[in-house]
Amino acid sequence: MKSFPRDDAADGSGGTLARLRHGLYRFFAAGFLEPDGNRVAALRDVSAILSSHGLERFAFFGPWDRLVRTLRENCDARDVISEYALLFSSAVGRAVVSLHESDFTVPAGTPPGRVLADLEGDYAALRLGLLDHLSGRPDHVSVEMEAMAALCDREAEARRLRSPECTARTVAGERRFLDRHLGAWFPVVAERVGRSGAGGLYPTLVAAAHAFIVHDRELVSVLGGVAEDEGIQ
Amino acid sequence: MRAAVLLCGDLESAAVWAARADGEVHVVPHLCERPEEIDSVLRPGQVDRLVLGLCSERGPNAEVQTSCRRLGIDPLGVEVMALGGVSPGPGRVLLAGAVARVKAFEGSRPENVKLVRPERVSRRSFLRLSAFANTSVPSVDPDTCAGDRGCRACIPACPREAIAWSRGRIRLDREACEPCGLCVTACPAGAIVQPTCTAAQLEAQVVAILSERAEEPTGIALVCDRSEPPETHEGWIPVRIPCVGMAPATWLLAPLLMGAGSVAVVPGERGCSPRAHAAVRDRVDFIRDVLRLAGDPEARMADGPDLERAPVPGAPASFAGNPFEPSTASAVIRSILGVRGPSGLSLPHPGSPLGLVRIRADACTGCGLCAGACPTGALLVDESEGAVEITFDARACVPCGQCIPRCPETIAGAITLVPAVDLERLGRGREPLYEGGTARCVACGGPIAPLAMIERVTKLLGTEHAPAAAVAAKYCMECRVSVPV
Repeated sequence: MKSFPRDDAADGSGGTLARLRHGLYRFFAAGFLEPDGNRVAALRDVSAILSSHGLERFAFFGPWDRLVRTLRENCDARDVISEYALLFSSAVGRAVVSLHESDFTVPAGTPPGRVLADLEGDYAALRLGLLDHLSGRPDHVSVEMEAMAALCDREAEARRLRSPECTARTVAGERRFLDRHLGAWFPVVAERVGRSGAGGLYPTLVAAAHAFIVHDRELVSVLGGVAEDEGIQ
Repeated sequence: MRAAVLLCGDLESAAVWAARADGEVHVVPHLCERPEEIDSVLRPGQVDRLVLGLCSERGPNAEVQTSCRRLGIDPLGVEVMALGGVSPGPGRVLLAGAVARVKAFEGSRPENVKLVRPERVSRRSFLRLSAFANTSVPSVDPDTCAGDRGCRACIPACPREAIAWSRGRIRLDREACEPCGLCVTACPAGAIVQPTCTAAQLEAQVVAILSERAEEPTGIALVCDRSEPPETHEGWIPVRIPCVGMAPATWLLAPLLMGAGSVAVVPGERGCSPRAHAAVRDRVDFIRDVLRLAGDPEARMADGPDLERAPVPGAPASFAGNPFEPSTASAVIRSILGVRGPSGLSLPHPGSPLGLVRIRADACTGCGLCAGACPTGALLVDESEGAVEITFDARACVPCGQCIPRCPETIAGAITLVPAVDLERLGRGREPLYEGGTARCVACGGPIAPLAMIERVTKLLGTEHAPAAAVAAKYCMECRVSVPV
């Protein structure tokens, strides 16, 4: 994962916020991939870096802090692998919770293909291309998180280049993606994981991701206004 | 739940309150000037809840909220009180109530948090990324929500049109929400929660207030968050709620059952919906009628000018359970009326928190759609061998009206609903409103439909479709396909 950038005066404050959000989305994207022995250590290290950027300013800090403490309390890699399998993987029978948007179709009975087609259309409209190894699962939560990370990166660049039009367009794209996709179905994941009674790393990861996504959805609607504020780009 | 009180050292009575308060109290010099420095007074994890006593009213403060998060305190649960100019006695009572209220705060969900948009974002504040404070909005529990059964009671209750049925569930638009709480008490299923104003918090606050004032006559004034606290006699203690329009009639009776002598509502002065004000007037009128019927002095439901006089003495607390909980509405009414009111009392009133359903047996077809729509289970349908029965329990009816539009025979007046209290029907418990037979399939013996429904449909189909109607009356859906035409 690329290292998180320092505050950069050339980015301006809006760019700093966009880069912070980019880092958080990438962190969560990595968190929901199938774990391996190194994953927990990497998540622990990155969470410490992100925490040093004053996340207590944001409403999702409580669940984030609990996640950081859980990661620090020496999550055993083998435990994490079996927790992931039991909670999310249908390879061990029926998964408790799916991490694919197409499994949360509304209205019930909507063909998953319809969801996937809409999603791929939205990726194309946002000029986001899927890497080959991800094209089979464009609706996995990690892929959607990476999409948001890419948009935040684009926003940071637009602010750095002092392009208010590009900034506004990108922020609008973030809002739309959260409304239509990640922000619409991930809260249901959080509800189901909460009801499952599962312990360990993943319920705290899901709770932190849920709080972040809900907060970010609000933030992008405010950022849309700030992008046009005089002198702030 | 551990709570701390931080008082600004500039408050005249700060030392008095600190000396007499139970629990952890700190007097912090010039706290009002730098309220965000609470994390220099408290350690992370030291307390779970916080009350700030400041010299003047404050809105949500981003820096205070950041400090709270560092300390492990949910910022939405922090009570900030304006105590400048408040005398020692009333201040002690207010603080006791605030501590009880924050201790009863159960925490918030991400959906309860709304960014408070500043009017203007300055470069300086945005540079610090500390421009955004948060306020609390209600959230919808999808497991408890009866929206999947067609309930939409919350939608018309919202004066900001912030609630909609979308993508298979009730959703609240936090951007549009100006938290008034009207949806919370409009929800018949209790699925909408405003975590900073729950029944548990209100009960805890009133109990603490009355306990502090012991034998002194006490009035509880439910005050809108948007109004300035009125000038009152010191026997009146304010309890803030987002909007007095959210208070059902039972919230006005609750303090009286808990030992308060009088109760009042103080509506907001600006930005409140006229519909909410009208609802409040209906409920106040209802309470006055109830108190009159119970032989109680009407002064117990006070008006504006009454707040300048001492409240009347109260009776000892006489209610088991939390009278602010919606599920206790019928018990609250019966507590006030049941012993002292006239027997056989029936009081129809638009402000009534309970309702009465009537079904006309000659118009009802026994379809049971009304019961399917009822979010509280006041109406139930039972389809057992050869019969259909619709029953009603007046104790559970919160006149939400969801049953009425679902009835296909509404035009014939098959079902009516009246907001009313009827002691006799409350005492009866569950009673049958409709009983009828069920037609059985001549082929398999399985149920087809209620006899009254078949009769109705046959009549609607007329002579032109009589053969089809005859088949439908004799055969169930599965067996029908085998019947030669």
